[in-house]
Amino acid sequence: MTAAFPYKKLPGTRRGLVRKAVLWEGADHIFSVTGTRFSEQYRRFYYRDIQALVIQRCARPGSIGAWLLTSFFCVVFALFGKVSYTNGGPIWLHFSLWIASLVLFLYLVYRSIVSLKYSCRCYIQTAVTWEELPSLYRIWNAQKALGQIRTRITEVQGAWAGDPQALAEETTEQKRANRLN
Amino acid sequence: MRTDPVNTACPACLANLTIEVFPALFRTNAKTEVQALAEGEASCYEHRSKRAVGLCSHCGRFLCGLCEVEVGGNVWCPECLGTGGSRPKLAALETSRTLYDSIALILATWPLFIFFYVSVFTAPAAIYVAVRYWNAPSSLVPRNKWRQIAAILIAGAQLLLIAAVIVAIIMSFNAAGRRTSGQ
Repeated sequence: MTAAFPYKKLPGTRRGLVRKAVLWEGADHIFSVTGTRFSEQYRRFYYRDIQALVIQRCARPGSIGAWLLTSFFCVVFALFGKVSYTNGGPIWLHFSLWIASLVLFLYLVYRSIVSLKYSCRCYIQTAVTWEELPSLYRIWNAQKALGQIRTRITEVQGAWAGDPQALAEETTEQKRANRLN
Repeated sequence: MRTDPVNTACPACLANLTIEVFPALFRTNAKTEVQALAEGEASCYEHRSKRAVGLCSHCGRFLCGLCEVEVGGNVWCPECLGTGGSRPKLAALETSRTLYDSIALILATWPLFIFFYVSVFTAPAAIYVAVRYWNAPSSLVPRNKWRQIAAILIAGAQLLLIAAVIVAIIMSFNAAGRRTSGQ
């Protein structure tokens, strides 16, 4: 954090071959940076305006490029290890290649489990918009980041003035009355 | 009093949801309760029947509660907000930027992995973009100039290599021609 860029990075970064997304915590707003390697788009969500935070658990594969590259090198190392073994190459070479292939395969298994069980979509709601936060796509990052954001929102908006359930019912009744009138 | 996040399921797709709401959900915006103009009071520039409650910090117009927008500690009218105010534009109002330094680096490096012969066109393009947009504002997230410097160096090396190949081809043709004429 510097005077020129008064933000602190929040947990969670999405960085693929082309696309990226990062979230920054500012003094009075969240600064969302999304885009590609050619351009960036910026969104600011002020703490005073945030009405709700939502985490939706769902399966997300993450970067397709990472899947393809890992699978490619896993197969290449396995093939080279087999060729080296068949041609009577040095034992350390084919063992190294097989171990490298095994490590990449285990990484693919880990990534599959994380994508299926520990992935999510995060949304932020204000009075005028409902936006996804693309950098928060893993549960642990989402919970950490939203925990920090929650603290800031509570500092700015203060405590609930009354029972939220009663407020919700009152608002629904007011809207119903307005429609009838 | 603080409400805890609620775990529930979407009624449509049954997705597992964790929802946390904040007081802003039920808060009415006091600014939308615009006051009517009384005798002798200043009116809003856009809404002549509404009382002015502030001034645009850029153009000085009177603004009602609906028109005034607070950005970066200053109050703006909708027109000045739309034009970005004075130059240079407020960073707080910017919503996008083109990353010329990244474009230059991509032009210099990606052809090396995809199809090297395209470098004949992309290397000069990389140098042009890096030099032409040297002082152009880059990302709002601070970054230094290493991408542009790397793009110029890599593209320059590619051009030198291409030039060396062309010179070698020309020299080999000349040598072949001299041998043929010598015979």
